[in-house]
Amino acid sequence: MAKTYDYLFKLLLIGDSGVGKTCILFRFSEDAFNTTFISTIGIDFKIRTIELDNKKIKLQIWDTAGQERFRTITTAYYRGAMGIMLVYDITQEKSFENIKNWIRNIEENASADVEKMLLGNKCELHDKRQVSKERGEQLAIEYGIKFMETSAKASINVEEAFLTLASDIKAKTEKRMEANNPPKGGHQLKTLDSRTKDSWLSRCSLL
Amino acid sequence: MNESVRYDRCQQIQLGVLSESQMSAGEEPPPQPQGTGNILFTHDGVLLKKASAEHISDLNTSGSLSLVEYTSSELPRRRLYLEWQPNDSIMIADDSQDQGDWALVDRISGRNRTTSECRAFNTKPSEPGNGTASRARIMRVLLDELDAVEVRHRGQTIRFIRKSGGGVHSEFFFQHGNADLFVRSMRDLHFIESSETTRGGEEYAILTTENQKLKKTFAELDIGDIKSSHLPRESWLPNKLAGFLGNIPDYVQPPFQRSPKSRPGTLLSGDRQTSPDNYQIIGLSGSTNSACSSNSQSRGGSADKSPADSELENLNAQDEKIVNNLPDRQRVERGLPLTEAQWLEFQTPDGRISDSDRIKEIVFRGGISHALRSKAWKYLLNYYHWSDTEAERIERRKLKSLEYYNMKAQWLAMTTAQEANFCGYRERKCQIEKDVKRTDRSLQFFAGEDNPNLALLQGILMTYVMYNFDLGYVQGMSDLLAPILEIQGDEVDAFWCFVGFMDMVFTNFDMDQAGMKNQFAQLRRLIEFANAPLFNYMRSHDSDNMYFCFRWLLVWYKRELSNEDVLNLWECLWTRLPCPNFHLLFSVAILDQETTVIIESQYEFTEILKHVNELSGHIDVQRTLEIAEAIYLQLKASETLPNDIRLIIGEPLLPPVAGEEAEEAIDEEPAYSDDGFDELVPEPTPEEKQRQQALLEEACERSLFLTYH
Repeated sequence: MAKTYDYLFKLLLIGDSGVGKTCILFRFSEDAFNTTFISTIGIDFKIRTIELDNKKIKLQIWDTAGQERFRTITTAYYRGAMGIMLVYDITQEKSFENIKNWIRNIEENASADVEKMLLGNKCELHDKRQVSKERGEQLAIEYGIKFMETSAKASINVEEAFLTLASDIKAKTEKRMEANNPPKGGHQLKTLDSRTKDSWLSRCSLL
Repeated sequence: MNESVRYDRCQQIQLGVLSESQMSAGEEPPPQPQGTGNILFTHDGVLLKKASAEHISDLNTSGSLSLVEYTSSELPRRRLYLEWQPNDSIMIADDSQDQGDWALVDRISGRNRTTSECRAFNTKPSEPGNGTASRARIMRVLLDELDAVEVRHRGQTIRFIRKSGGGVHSEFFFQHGNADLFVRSMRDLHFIESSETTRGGEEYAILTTENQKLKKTFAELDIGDIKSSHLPRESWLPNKLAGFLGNIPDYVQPPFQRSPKSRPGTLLSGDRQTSPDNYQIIGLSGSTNSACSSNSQSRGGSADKSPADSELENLNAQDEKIVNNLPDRQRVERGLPLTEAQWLEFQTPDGRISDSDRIKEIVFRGGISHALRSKAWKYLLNYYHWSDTEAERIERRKLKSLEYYNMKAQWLAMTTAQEANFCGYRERKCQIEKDVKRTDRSLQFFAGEDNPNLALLQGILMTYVMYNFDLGYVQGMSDLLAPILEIQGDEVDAFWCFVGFMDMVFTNFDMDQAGMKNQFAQLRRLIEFANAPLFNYMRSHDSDNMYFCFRWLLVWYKRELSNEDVLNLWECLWTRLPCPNFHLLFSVAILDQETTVIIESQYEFTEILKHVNELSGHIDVQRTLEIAEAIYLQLKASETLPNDIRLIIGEPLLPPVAGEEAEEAIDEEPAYSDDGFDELVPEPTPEEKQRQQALLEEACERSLFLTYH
């Protein structure tokens, strides 16, 4: 079967329960918003192919359950991720505070140089805001990652966020590919794979 | 220094003597090789998993795998052979040993081994008339004929690749321990060298005698006169030497510590595929499922198939006939729901329910009519007792009501300050609030803003937190409660029914997810036995971790079915008929219906997960219940049902048969518990749990690598 894309990037959405991970994904993959919410059980993914600089990029975006209890299952999915969206809810202070825990989770479980991005979701709920945009920006600077406020409901910045993350991964990937070996028409991902350095065992002690 | 002294187990042997102990009297030893055999290393309890067609009858037979050096006066240089010979009459009736499952020692349906000749396990395929029955049973191959060794599945499987054509020569499974020592010994003797790491495994190139000599020179070993019989391939020799002179890697790292796809240059013939797709496992525990029986052929399109694979595939059907354990699947039919009129017939004048077994049977077969559900569920969920009289029931309800409101008062009385100082409570409360808002809101009963039933749902979950603080609230529990609340209507009744349900499934919500993982392992084992084609497919596509069934099992198919179907399925499952883990057989039955699609579409792990998630709303619950029961009856009627599966489906265990075999069984116990996937006793040790978890996580890991295709 011929490949209909030039790159396949695996992305992951993480963040506290109820911050809107599934809604963001639904907005991006279907450009829709469902008001009948349902919590995510287990893990699922959606696919969307985008185009950047004439390259077709297939994004495989994984959506996980947010509750701590399921992390032994969900962290297993971190490892192959090339990009991670850290999502908090601007109306939930706690979900913002927990971002640092999620970052630690990534450090323990994902590749060291996975691309990360911080999203403050539900930005359409002005009157319920608990986390200012400045604090979000500040945290992102602290971790050296990009930041956007999004609204899955009002369709604000969701598309932009994924395109930004994909673009950063693409740039990193191509840079590495040029540096490593001359192009052989092969697939980019092997390069990314091989640098996964943390051992599986180091994650077994989680929880 | 003679290498042979480096191993405790080494022994000097005459070839004839070596063979005789394994053969019937009067048979001749194999003509090749000549001279004295010196076992350099041997490992017992090694199953033959793949080989050329001559050895088909010995597949899955336990034997010993050895490195043997032959020298004779006629041959000035020594020759190194890999040898495998069967132990004797113990046979393995299924192919479940891979990466951690039980070895089924088949003492009942022993196959007669063929007397086909060992025409040439190795060297001279056309050499006529060189064998007897016994000879056929020893497999011997000159190391120089082999190109590479692949180590897989936590070191439990090793596979040898031929030099000519690059096909699989043979494959072995280590029942006791793993191949580490064997591989290490080969490395230490400079027979092999690490060449690359493939997904889920390690690969070693077998060095020609010339290279062995070089290596030994480097290692300052005293060696005999070795002449090269094969010229090394120029392309890879320099790499190897460079590699050798550099760091010698630790060969016995578990494969999962390696990065999966790093291929530092192609050292071996590039065309040979080393992906698990090409890693066919010959199924011996056949399934009678007609939908599945042709599955081995669905792989036929693979262009990369090695000659050995083709040969074995051709023999597959034959094999399945020989070792097919499952009787034909019977047609099972569902019945009618239990009605109120029937219920009244079971009620005695003082209000007891007289024949609960019969009621459960009717419920299992057809469910419960809607109007009776509220009442009958209280019994099925152990809130009411079948033997209670009307008066006792009223009393029980009064007490339970009191108990409920006491617990509810506890959290209602929690002050803001208390809450602020009680993180565990606060987090549970917060999670409940989030989930109540998004539980079954499309159902009339929970629809709309300010629906009072949402407050009930929340109140019951909060009270459950006080009832069982250790478990607290975990996502998924609101899904389990909602249908119960809808049927019961009353807060107290719903709570105690929910408690009864939670008592059945609380391990689903274990902090370490051990309960879920145990169920994955059980489900995996059931599929392995009941649907070998699917199992083999999933295993060869690294999808046998069963993670894609997570949602099914966590909330008992709540997210897969319509509300009415959920009610119907749950009441069937609550009867605990026909066996304790029938909910797992429901999974087996769903997958049974998807077997053809999964295999023919060549789904990888991610696609299976997607497919399974998208089955939601498309599962015919009655049909699936029929299939599940039919599969249960098949398993139950199987004469060779192994004890681990008996445990899962609640069948009495088979005692060891007699003296020798009992000893055998004891002997093999450690091999079983080595695996991890077989952890079926109710209370596994912490070490065992940990090991099992590691295994499953590894299986998951393997699956995830497939997302890169």
